[in-house]
Amino acid sequence: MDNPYIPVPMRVKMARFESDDRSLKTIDLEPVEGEVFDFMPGQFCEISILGKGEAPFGIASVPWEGILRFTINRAGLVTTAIHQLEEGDVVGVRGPLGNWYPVDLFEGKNIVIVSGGFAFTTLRSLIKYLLKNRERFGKLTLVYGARRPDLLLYRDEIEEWEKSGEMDMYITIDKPVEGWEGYVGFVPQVLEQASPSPENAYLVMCGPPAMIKFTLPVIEKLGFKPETVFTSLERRMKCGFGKCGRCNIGKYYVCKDGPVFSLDQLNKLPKEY
Amino acid sequence: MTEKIREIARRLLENGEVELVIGFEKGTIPLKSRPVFIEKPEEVEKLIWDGFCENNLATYLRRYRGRKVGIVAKGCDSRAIVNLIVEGQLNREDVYIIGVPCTGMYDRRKMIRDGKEEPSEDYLFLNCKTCPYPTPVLYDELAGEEVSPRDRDYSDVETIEKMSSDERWEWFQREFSRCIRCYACREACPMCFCEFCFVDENRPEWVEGGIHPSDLGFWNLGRAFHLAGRCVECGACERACPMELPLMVLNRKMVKDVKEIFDYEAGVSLDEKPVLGTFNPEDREDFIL
Amino acid sequence: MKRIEKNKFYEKLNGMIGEYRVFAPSGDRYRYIEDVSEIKFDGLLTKMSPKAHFLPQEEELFRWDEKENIKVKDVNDRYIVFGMRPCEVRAVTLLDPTFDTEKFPDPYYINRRKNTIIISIACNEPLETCFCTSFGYGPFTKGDADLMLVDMGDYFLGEGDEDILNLFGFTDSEEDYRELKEKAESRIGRIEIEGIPEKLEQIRETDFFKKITQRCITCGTCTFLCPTCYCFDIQDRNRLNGGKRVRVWDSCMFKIYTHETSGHNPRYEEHRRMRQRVMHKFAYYPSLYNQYGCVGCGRCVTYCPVNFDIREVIREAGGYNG
Repeated sequence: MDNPYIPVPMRVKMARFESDDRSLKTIDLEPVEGEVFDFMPGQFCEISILGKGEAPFGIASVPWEGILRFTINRAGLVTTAIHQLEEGDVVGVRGPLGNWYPVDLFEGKNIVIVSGGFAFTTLRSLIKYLLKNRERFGKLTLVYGARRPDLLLYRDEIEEWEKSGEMDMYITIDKPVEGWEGYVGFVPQVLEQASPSPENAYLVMCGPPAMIKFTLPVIEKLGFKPETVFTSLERRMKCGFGKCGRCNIGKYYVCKDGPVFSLDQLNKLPKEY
Repeated sequence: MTEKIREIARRLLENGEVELVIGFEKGTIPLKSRPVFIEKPEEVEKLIWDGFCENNLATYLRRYRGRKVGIVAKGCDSRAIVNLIVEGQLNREDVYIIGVPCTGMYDRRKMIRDGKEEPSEDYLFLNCKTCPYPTPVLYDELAGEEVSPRDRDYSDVETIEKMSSDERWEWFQREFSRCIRCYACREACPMCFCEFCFVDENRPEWVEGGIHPSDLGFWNLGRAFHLAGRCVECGACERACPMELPLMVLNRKMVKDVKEIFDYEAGVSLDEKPVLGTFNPEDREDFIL
Repeated sequence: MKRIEKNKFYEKLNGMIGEYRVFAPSGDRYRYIEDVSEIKFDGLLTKMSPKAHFLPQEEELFRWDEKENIKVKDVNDRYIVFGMRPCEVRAVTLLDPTFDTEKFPDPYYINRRKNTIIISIACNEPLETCFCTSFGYGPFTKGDADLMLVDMGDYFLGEGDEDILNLFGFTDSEEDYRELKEKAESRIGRIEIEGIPEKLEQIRETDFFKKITQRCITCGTCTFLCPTCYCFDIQDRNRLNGGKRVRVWDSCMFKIYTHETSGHNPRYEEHRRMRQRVMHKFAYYPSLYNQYGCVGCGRCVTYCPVNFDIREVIREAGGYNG
């Protein structure tokens, strides 16, 4: 029997700070032995630092990159230890865990992606997936914001995507900054400005609680039905596969039945997230 | 006493002087009276007073900060309220204290084990038997006649003190290895109000989370030490403990030492500052290495 | 029916210690015993339930050495859990759907579960706090036990697996336990649980949970003594030259249980934690597994420091119109 509690050793191939204030760090992991496991956009892993513990992180990469990418905000015991990692260090990984964005459901539809801050991680994975399979999907729209330009993740790629013209892009920061030529304003306002049509479309949203709170009314106003809106939740987790109990919302475990839920599902659950 | 408590509670609620009254009602299991929260005058008939009102209701007060509540308080409960005010956890004007002079609470678990249904002196909790403040030290209204203080007696602590250190260690290990870390003691205690208990911290991790005897010992000692100069000897922790650990021996040792060293008792005066929060040039220094 | 003299049974059980690790009632909890003389029934139910065998309060998942080589302990023990009550047997059955899953089966639980012989004892004299019959079984239900004993004074009647009956040397008997069973069942108070899962969902957002939680001090007594509560934490233990990762019982009643590093806590308020505990057993479990997550052993009622009584709460929920 496979033991799902045992982390698989992976080596840090690349580690870099993402933001100027060094609160965000991106690491690329490659297996010490063999290939990266297969996974879907939206899934997550438990990263294990022996002696410190484990914590769940959404996967920002796609399988064909040959690595697992994570962008991690330094907050507690485990994330601080991860921030101290250097290239060549070995960590433990358990995954892939959880469900994923319903890309099969998205086939032939327009996709609107709305995100704020470093919650963008798994959406990079989704965007990569959509772009790789571009012909299977309709129009793609991205509304992505952060407080400051340096807090926007994966800026090089965002530029590439903008150049490619494959997506309608609305990249925004909260307040004007010298040299910034993109949008200025909060995500909900910019989304309203972008005004994507709900016709034949799905919307995916990931962001901090405040962004979600103010974006929900906009989404409703735009006419997106709750069953066409998906989001990825975060909760304190331990096992990551529905045993230890703490991440449930109603009868669902965020780790096992999520982290991706439709707004329709969430509306029927206690507000415990 | 029950009638008087109901009368006061009814008046307070009818006049809108308080939003709710925290008192005791008859429980659903034998020999147990339990906390009840009365919000309407017509509910005051639920309130009772007997020898099984073993919880310290002051533990709920912080949940209602900023709201006006009435509380039924025994001597020890009133000391807890005083201490909460002294430590800045509570505003005096937010609580209306219905003081209940107390003749002591009976150990229901011991009675049930012995097949007794009627309380008797033999079954009084030790801290009640030796209670120096049976009449509340602070109240807005007293629901009965004052009760004379009982003689202090720390013979339980002295028994442990007299042991050789090996014997004492053996006793400590044996008793406290039964702890299951449910934290009923902590939650029952009005003075254990830290937003984040030291035992839950992981940066640094003061104590591991499991049931290794050293962790169980450390947790129980840490808990007792954090109550030094603060414990009001109500015994709520020991009564809450499902495993019936002798928690009060540790607490009473602290109370005894603080009294001997600093001549201080917790929760008896609104004017005194917490003993470990003040420095006095006369303080003994002989324990400082 | 089969029977065996008690002294013969215990002698046989004693002989099996060694070949099996025997977990039996010994005062306030079950212990792995070295000799049957350590068996001590402290009333009908031990304070701590025998779930501690199937899901120990602290259990090593794996350890590592100074080179961070991970090693999982090889456990090949076989076990007998002796003295479980029908409610406790049922509680283990209720743990199965969480741990013995198709995807991500839990190897530690499954190893213990499948290598354990369960010997239960029917309850001739149920307690005032028992309410097992509310859940469609009772004090004489064998359930998933391999062998159920009925205490007849000097001897046991036994019902169960033929091999185990033979192993102990049970002999044929004309007797049955019907009368005892009926008497025991008639003593048990039932709670009305018909429609409760739906009702709890309906009143989820009302003041009901705030009201019932007022007296709760949010300790973990109910959950730690409960035979069906299984939530755990995973913690690392640093040791010289390595360390180990363990799982440790945790409780949804604790504030820290859902406390996130950011400071956000979706179940910060006491009533949200209480709602979780009550609804997990009486709404989520039925909806997922078509069974209640409570077995009616009454431990949470007996040992709650403030006498929070789940029987009463279910009754109140049934009649709640607020």
